[in-house]
Amino acid sequence: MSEPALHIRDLTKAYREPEGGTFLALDIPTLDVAHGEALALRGESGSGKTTLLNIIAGILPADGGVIEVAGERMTGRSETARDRVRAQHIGYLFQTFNLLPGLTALENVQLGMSFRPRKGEAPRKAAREALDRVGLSDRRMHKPAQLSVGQQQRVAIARALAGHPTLVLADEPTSNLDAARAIQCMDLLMEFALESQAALLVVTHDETQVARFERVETLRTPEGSPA
Amino acid sequence: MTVLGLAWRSLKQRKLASILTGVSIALGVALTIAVIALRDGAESSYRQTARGYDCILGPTHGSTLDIVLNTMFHVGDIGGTIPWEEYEAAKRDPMVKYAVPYAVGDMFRGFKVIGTSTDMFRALEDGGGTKLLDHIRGRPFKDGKHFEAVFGSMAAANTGVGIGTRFRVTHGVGVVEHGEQWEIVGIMKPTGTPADRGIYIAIDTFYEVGDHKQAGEQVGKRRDERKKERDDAKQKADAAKAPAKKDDGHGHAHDDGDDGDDHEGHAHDDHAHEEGDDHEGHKHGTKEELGLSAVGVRLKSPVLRLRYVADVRNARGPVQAVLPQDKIRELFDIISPIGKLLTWIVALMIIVAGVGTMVSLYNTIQGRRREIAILRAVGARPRHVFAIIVSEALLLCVLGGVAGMLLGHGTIILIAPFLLEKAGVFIGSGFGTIDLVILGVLVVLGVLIGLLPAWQGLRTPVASNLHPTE
Ligand SMILES: Nc1ncnc2c1ncn2[C@@H]1O[C@H](COP(=O)(O)OP(=O)(O)OP(=O)(O)O)[C@@H](O)[C@H]1O
Ligand SMILES: [Mg+2]
Repeated sequence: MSEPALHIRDLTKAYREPEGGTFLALDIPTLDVAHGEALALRGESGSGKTTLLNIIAGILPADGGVIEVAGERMTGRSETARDRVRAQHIGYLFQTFNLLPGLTALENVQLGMSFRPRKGEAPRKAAREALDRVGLSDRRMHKPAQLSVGQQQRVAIARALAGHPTLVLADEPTSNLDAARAIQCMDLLMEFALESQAALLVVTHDETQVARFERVETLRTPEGSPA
Repeated sequence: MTVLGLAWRSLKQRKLASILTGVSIALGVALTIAVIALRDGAESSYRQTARGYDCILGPTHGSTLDIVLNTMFHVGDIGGTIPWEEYEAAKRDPMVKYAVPYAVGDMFRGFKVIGTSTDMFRALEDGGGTKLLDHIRGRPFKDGKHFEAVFGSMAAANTGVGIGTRFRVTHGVGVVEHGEQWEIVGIMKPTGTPADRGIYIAIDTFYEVGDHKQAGEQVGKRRDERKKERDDAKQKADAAKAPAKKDDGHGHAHDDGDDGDDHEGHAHDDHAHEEGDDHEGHKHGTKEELGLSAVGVRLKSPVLRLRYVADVRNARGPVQAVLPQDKIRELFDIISPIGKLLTWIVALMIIVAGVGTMVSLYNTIQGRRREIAILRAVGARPRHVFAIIVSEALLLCVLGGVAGMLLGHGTIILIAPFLLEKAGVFIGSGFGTIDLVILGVLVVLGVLIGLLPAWQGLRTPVASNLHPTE
């Protein structure tokens, strides 16, 4: 594991504007995250934080530059290839949790491992352990609607980490929670990531949260973009 | 979480829509299965019945189809008779295993009373090859002048009679009853053949019926016809001298033997004859006077058919030999396109239900963009999304189809005994190739109707649907 968990070089991304023309949303010369490292990413609204996470996850294609996750190329590849790398190496945590309403807590966690090209341990067992880890052993069969907001985010944390990904991306994971729960939730995320040796890249506005990270990077709106 | 598991949960999420679309498919399948079973049941019961006789002798001027339908299916009217002698001749023919006489015209509560011989119960079989004889509860009537009767299951069930019941018959559809009474000595179990609709009495008793005025007119008409026929026959016989004479000789010799055998019966015959004459002479008349409607012939081997038909034709007598199988085939050449059309119409219901399912599924995709984006965010590839949506269509079709099959076959099982008893049609309720065909069609249909919604799902952009803006 000589290569970093995440490696970014000369990344650019431009959006097509509704009125026509393009607008540069991202321009990152270099960004590396080591295995097991936790990094807070901040930046003003519209600076391209969500865009960056989506490109790292392979959900959006980059326009130029190189991204590698666990040594695997994410840029310049087909959508299917990016989907595979995402399924195998990345856990994604959202501000709005994005649990599937029709599935139970356990099934939602299991879902995170269902599309991996190489399945590791038995997904059901891993899912159960992850739910135990976030303290929801007694809520396995509950549907998201039957869970509190804090519990929902814990299920989402379990889903992101159950498959022991190389990299966990979190987009403002605590902004829907009150201060006390936000701290609990971030504790859980950081501990769980540490235990499973996952690199953690957290986007957050919350300065008290930022203060807990050993490494903090700030994303700036690229030069020459109107925002 | 497998693709199929996710599809199933997605269907459960939209329970009502799923059930409704599934039910619409199930109804289409059930209806198709029921129609096919009914069609096949009716058709096979017709074909089966046509197998009992290799050949039927009927009057030359009667329609061949009428002869078959009247003799074997107890419907319609032949509109003519053949001389009794033809029956005797058929019985003597070395190629013939059974010659079964048919004399019709009387009814009992809407069911035809058929004067015949017990050979009918030996010559005819049900669909499984069991002789009608073995279907009789009680016993067959005795040949000769015994006023006994055997009822077909349907005739018995619809007239509400039982073994031991005595009944009188009416002539034609008239309301005036004849004086004679028959005792029911046997009732057939349902055979799924038209034999279920008949009431069978010994042919000798058929000619014993004393008559009233109304019936007398009809008999008179018949008598006229008979006379004309006889004259015709004589002319023909004269023309073809040698064979006709030979036949005559044989006939007489045989008749004598019969008289000796059945002396007691004959005495009764004479008695009845006199009695009838006293009452203005209105009687059915003797068998020689009245003749028969038809004679069913079972040959010693089916390969003799053409030879036998040729013999009958060459004899140039007042009868024609009809091959019932050929007639029934002709009949079904007319009927089966209608049956097929009906089947296609109900099968079209499955397609319509399928289109409904597609529309319903397609409409859900818009509302499922976030769900699809989430699946993609956790690593599902486009082909997984595609497979999930196609699986939903497939599940609806296959589960709806299986439910429809159970419903269809269940209904058949429930109504089969009723149909057999009341309509004399035996319908099989077993699962068969048709079910496999329908299942195959449903799998193809499921994939086809899943394609458009799945393609729509495939094109759902991920990033913009992960953060709901609506
Ligand atoms: N699909 C799109 N088409 C055009 N422009 C877009 C699109 N998505 C994002 N943008 C623009 O790109 C810029 C970066 O958006 P992004 O969502 O990455 O910001 P962000 O840093 O996550 O902001 P926030 O902190 O408010 O979530 C914004 O100016 C936005 O308007
Ligand atoms: Mg954002």
